[in-house]
Amino acid sequence: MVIAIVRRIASGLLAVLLASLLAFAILEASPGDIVQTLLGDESTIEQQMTLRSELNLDQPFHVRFLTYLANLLQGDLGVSLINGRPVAEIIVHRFINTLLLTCLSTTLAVVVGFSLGAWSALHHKGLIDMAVIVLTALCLAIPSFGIAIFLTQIFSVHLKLLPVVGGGSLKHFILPCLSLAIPTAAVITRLVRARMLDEINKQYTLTARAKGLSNKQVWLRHIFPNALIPAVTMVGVQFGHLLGGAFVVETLFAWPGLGRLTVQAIFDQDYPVVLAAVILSALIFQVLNSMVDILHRQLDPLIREGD
Amino acid sequence: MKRANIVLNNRWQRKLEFQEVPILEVKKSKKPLRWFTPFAFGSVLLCLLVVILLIGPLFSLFSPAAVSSGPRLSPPGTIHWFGTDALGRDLFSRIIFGFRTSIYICVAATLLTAVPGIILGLISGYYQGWIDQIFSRLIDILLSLPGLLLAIVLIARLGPSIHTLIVALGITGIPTFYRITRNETISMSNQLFVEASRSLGNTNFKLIFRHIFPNIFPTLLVLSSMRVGVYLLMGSGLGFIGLGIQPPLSELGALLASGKEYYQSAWWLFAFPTFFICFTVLTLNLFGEGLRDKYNHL
Repeated sequence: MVIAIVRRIASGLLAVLLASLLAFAILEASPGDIVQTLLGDESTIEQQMTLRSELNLDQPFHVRFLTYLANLLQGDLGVSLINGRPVAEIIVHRFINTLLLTCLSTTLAVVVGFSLGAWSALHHKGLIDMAVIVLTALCLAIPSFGIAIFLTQIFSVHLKLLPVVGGGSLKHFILPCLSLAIPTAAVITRLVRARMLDEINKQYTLTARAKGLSNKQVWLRHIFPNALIPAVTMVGVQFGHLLGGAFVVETLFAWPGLGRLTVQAIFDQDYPVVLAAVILSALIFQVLNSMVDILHRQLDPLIREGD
Repeated sequence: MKRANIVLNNRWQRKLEFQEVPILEVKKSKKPLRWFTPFAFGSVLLCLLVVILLIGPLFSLFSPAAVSSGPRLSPPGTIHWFGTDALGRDLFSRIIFGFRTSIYICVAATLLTAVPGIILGLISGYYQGWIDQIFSRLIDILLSLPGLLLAIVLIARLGPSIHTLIVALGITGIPTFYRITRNETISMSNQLFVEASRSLGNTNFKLIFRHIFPNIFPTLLVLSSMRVGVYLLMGSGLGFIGLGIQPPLSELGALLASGKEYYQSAWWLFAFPTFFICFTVLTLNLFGEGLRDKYNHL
């Protein structure tokens, strides 16, 4: 058990390390020279040389990568090329905003998804089930910004209830949160529904009924917990995707989060920020995946006994 | 099950029949529309999409890039079916051609995902051991980066163009294809028919491509058809934040993005591209899910 967890964490860390190497290499293979972009065309060779050595660009690739890693472990992610502020400071601030948004929308999606999924499985092939299927299929087919714009139209333009862009008050949370939560809820709903319908036809359900348990007990004690296991994995994956990939919604709502920061930094060619964002995303992704794996192990006795 | 009934004796028959009893009675409507499966529906819609792709340009009366082919921001009408955009370009032509570009990008990206993913997956799953270890670790690296982020970084580095977009999208899906192919291959190579074929002295190559691959092909087909939809959504997201292909070429996401500034005054600029994206993804999902159900019943 402990060995399995340690191994999982170790392989996760290795993957993060290699992912940061990959990101470093991609960002390194630059078509334009960063130094020239920063200083402009009229800079002298001396100025360029000084900046180059300041940014460590005169060192070979592996030296720079190792230096970067060493600094990273001390919490130093370099400075932004645009405004000279420490990257760590910028990123932490933005990350908290994204984390808030993601936690809120994932919670919403989980609550809605689980109850809707279970509800429609209970009414299999009924009117409710059909409605849920059609609705979730639609939600999955519309791009997230499509949902976002649609919501903005209704709540901000027509009803004038909620602000469109910015952050700060609780009201600013609602629209971005809903836009992220709706597709996630649709995925979870479909998964929970499908899993529950799978479990109904298994032998243990028959046994439970044969024991004389009531319908409610069969559903709540036997079918639902077993359908939960794959859903937990899905929630973890979705959470990771939202944390690292809410670019479009954050950009649309001008939400001061990690996704918008990354997009902005890419347009500004601010590579230290991009690199830090990529590494942070990879790290979070791995942490989440490890947590899901460990949780999965706890929830599913079959895996635990496999050790 | 019919054949089993003929061959097996009574005792077994009873056991089989016992298992056949539905555990939960499902209410069936009196007149089930047998032919109206999601698969049939999806297939019909897919045919419709292909027709739009092929003969759509015949109906577009204006060039998609012709500025001021009509009044600016005119609502949908008889001349401009879907209205015009801020530069007076005919939205219908732009969507028809943009749709072709989008589909080209997504299908190409799916091929770019599927071919390496499937080949590596087959090799890993069949040979297992250290080859599998190496490939799986390499795939783990890709997997530890959120897909869209990797695509964004790649596009930022290589500069936005159709081919960059294809590569950037294509790379993000490789882990999924690899993992599913690998797992299916592992369970297939433990099957008796593979063992039998091997004992007849067939080569590994023949085992993989004549016995294992055809058996996992339906799964991969389902995966691919849904992947096209995923890429359409991702691509339109990239187009929306301005990292898609650049004008004058248009693609559905970029069309949407150019419409977003006018979504309060000119709803058609936003509604029609969204409808096309939604319709396509829905079709592909229906088709894929239908196909999966069809093969699961075999």
